[in-house]
Amino acid sequence: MKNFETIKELWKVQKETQINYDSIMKSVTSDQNKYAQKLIVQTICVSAVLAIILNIWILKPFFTWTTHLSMLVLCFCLVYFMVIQLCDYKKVRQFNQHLLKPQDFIEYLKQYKKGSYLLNRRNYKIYTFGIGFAFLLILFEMYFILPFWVLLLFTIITMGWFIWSYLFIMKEYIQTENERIESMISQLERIKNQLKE
Amino acid sequence: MEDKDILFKKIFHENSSKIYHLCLGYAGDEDIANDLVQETFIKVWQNLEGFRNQSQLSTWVYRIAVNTCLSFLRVEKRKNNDSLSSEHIENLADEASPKLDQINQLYKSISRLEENERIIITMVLDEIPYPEIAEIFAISEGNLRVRIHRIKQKLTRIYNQYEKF
Repeated sequence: MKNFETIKELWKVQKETQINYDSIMKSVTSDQNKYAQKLIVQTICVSAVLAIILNIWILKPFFTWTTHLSMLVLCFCLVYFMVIQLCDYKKVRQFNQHLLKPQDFIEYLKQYKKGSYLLNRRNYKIYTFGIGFAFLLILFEMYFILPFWVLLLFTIITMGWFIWSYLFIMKEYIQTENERIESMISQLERIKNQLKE
Repeated sequence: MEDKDILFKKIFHENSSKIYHLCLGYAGDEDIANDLVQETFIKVWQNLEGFRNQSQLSTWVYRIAVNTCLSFLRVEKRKNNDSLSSEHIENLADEASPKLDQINQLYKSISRLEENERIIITMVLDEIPYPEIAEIFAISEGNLRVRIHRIKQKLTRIYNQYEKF
């Protein structure tokens, strides 16, 4: 039988961390670069798609106002996507939250995870709805240009894809995310209860 | 910038071992502990300019480390959490000397404690003064003493149980 003081003696024979000062500095730089790179790549991709849409919008003569509205909605969706990404990055990088008292920090994390989950779901729905609405508006123009069976095929495929995405892919994604977030929140709740005085 | 570098280097050398023990005690896995140490010091670097001497520098670093550990959630591994830590520690024991074997047994015992108990006991084992631990956790010293007494008893009991087998 060992008492606590004997156990404490064991503690003095310890392994040390493999992390050194240089690797931390390397991580700081690479973290900053990765963040900047991700932003640049996303901005370039969104700008390229935006440029293509604007190009089509300006150069192609459209006959119906619905197509013009559709182009506007598409542009709005892309900009909306970009703004959401930027806001997300900004939120994640609010490091000063790590200095809160542990119990306040856990509460903050719980609220943050719940809030960002709900916000992301809402944003995704707005984004999908916007893109779907834009496609619907384009169909009016296509009605005058394309042969009926091509239009029908295009409509069926597009609608099929949206229904499949919404009812199956998104449903499964939401379910998995829901389970993940519930598990996280219950763990955070448990830890928060441990910190109560 | 150079001053920041010098200060950060000093903080790292003075605190990295203790922060590692805390993270290893919390996670029960060397790789995860190293990741948590890295994450902690990255946050220290990023917040260094905002440090305003309201508390001791070590207390401030510990607060970041504690919050980093507490926010580390093993969502996918949750079901096997305890067995995962124990299994990993047993593997370490195979490679190690008898003395290290006892250390690993101690870590295995710590992994059976609750999350906040793991953090508090590693600080006690590293001889962090009680007022500092109380400040990190934002609890009264009296309350902390009661908790520490309970955790010591619990840890000793678990450790001796392992030693019987």
